[in-house]
Amino acid sequence: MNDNVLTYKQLFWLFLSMQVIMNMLLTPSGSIMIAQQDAWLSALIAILISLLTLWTSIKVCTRYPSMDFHVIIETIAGKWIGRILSIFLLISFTIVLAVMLRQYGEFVSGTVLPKTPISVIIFCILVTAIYPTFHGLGVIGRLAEIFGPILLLGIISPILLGIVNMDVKHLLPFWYDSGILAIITGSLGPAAFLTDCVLILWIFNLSEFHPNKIKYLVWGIITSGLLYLLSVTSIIATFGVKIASTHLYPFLILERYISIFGMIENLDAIVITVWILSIFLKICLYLFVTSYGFSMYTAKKNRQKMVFYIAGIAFLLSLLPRNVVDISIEFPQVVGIPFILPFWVVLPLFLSLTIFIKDKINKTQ
Amino acid sequence: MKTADLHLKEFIKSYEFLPSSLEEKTKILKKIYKNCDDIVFHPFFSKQSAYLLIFVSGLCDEEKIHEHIVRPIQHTSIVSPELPLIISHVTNITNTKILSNTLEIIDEIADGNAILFNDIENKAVSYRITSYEKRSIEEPQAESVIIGSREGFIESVSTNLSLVRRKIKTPSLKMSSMVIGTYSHTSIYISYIEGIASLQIVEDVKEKLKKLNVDAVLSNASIEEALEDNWSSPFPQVQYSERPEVVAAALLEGRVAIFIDGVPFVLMVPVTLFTLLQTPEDYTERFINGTLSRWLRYFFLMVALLAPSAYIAILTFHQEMIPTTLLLRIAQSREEIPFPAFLEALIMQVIFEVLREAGIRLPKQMGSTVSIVGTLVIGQAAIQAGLVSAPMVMIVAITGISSFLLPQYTLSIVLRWIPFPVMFLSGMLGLVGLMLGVLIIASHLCSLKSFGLSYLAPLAPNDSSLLKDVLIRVPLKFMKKRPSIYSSINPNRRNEGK
Repeated sequence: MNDNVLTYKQLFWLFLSMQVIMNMLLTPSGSIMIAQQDAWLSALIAILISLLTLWTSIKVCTRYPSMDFHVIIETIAGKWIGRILSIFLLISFTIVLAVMLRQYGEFVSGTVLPKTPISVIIFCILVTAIYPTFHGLGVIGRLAEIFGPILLLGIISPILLGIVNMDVKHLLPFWYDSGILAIITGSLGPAAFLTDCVLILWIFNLSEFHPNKIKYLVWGIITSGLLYLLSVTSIIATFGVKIASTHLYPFLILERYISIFGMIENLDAIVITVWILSIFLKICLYLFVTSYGFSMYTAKKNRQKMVFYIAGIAFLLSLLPRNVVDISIEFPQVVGIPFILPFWVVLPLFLSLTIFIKDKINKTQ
Repeated sequence: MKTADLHLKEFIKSYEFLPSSLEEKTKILKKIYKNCDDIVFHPFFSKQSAYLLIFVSGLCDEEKIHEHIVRPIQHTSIVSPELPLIISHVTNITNTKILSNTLEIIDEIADGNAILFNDIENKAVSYRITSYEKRSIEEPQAESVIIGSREGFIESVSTNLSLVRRKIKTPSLKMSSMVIGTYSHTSIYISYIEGIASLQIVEDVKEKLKKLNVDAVLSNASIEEALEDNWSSPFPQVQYSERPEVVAAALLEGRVAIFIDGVPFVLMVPVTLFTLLQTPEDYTERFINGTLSRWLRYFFLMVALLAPSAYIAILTFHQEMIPTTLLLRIAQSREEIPFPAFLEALIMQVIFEVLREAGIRLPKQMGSTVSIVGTLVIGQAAIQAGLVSAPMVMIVAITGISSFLLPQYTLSIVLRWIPFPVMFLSGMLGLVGLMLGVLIIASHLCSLKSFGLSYLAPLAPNDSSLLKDVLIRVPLKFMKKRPSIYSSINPNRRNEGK
């Protein structure tokens, strides 16, 4: 069975749910460290950067609505340059997939399963993710549609419950301590997570045609960005800059502060559940796009077989880093922000500009 | 070496049409029905000619044969023994058919019809006077309701068809028949409402059943397997019902029903998970009660699936999630238990399953023994012996009871086995394992399809207009449209002209 059709609602839920929690859990502390109490402004900038990427990506896909991306890029940039760029993009996805797996492993082993080997934790979720990915994009979309609302509830309710512990004073003074450069630098971390909407290049033309499609997609990204903004704001308001920037997972600590009727406490379980749901969808989507993309460059174009190969490679890659510092601090600073983020932003920008120029030239002729 | 069966087939093939002479006909048919002592050969004479009557004893009304066929022919004054004349002027049975092909004749005999031959034609008449023992119409056992109709299907397909025909009287209700089974020649009727059901699905059903090549259809299993898209899934992809009004409602939604002779259940396709979670009572109760009982069912579906696993996960890995007083209580009761929570749950679940299975297999008179033994063994002795803790017994009992809440037996069977692997995962990886279990099940459900329809429709792919009959049960006056997931040919439930 191979159903690869996404509905427009599924696009919304898929992009929202796969982006949101990774971002909320992993990037606030770094962003707060740089931009101080103005980290929420960084979040706004990150949203803008991701929307730019989304807009240019959609421009590229809508220009050639019936083609697959590997054909589109060769049409725009020529056969060889197109191929190289497209394979680079796929390699970047594979690396990010491996990093995600490792971050998930580190998080789980750091919070709930301290005695379990990280390789086992990663292997389990990867095997689970192979199942829906093997069956196709439609299955991943339907999963997102079911779990999306649950995710949203699991994210918003703790924030609302935690309002009691917040103090707006922590957000002041505005702009004075950080300045524009720090705010922009602070936005790069979250932007790296939000700009993975560049994945849409591969799946936009696989999903069904609907006039509302683009609108829903944009709202998916905006919602995920706003949720990040909400979480950063509430983290700063709860802990203040000092404590928030020293914790690896401040959002998790936020949940630990919540108590309902003095009976239900330690809501880490909710965060962990939501995190697993979200990262699962993310792994599925990355796995699908990479396996689909790479299979286009093989002779048999067998996507389903490719899923296993990519999963194996990603698994091995995820075991390379030595520890949590390597993956959560070194990687973003050395590879993620200087290379992958610009590549993701610039590639669709370059493609859409080329289309624009080509169309102009054709018109004048 | 040819089997006797092949010989017989070839023999029948070599006589595609029987000879005209009665003597030769009798010889051939006797050879075909060699050693079949329940087939009655009744030769008799009128003033002008000789006749032969063949029927299966026990499947025909012998009194009617004598009264309406044999006696009129013997006493007739009509000279010609030609069959059409006999039908129209002599015998007085209305449901008749003239047959010429030998295979047809054999089929008709097997169906319980009386076959009449004369001495001058190679044709025969089949008189439909089937009458055999069948159950009377009783209250459905597997799908009981408090408010609702009290009639259930029986093993006779013609009775079942009539029960549905009484509810939907339009000629648009089609019942197209086919015969399946090399040996059993079972009649199957594919029923749908023309103008509502999607013809694509009807064709698909027919296609799938035509491809079915089996010896016999003795139960619904072979038909069900032919209809499902994914044979390896534990989840049922066909809905059963023994209630005519449920089938009628399904037909009106645009679904297709399959009646099988000898099976007191009617199969319905396509199926979604939510169809299997609805009961007929959802629609006979007040809408608020219907909605609440539906929510209860959904919630306890989750409980049946996840309660033991969640208990194991929290107790083994995440004690900090339990409020202190409760934790102390549980710790106190588990103080002397020698097993880890996973093993304890496994033992209890298995014992529970054993008792349940035993309850099904035992004769009714012995049923109470099981419950007494069960109560004593599980409830009292195991706790007092310090083998299992009281909270665990409670969890297992609640899980067991929860799975009884589901209206479709086929679905509750699934829920008996699925918790085991999830429990194993929870025992290994705590909440993470539990989530992985949930994700595997969800992925599987998302990948299932029934006749091209997603198993989780209308939740995924989402169709918010249909969720009013899934998440809640709105008053019937707001259900003006048929569920478009089955068919979009005739969307309105109301007659627009009125």
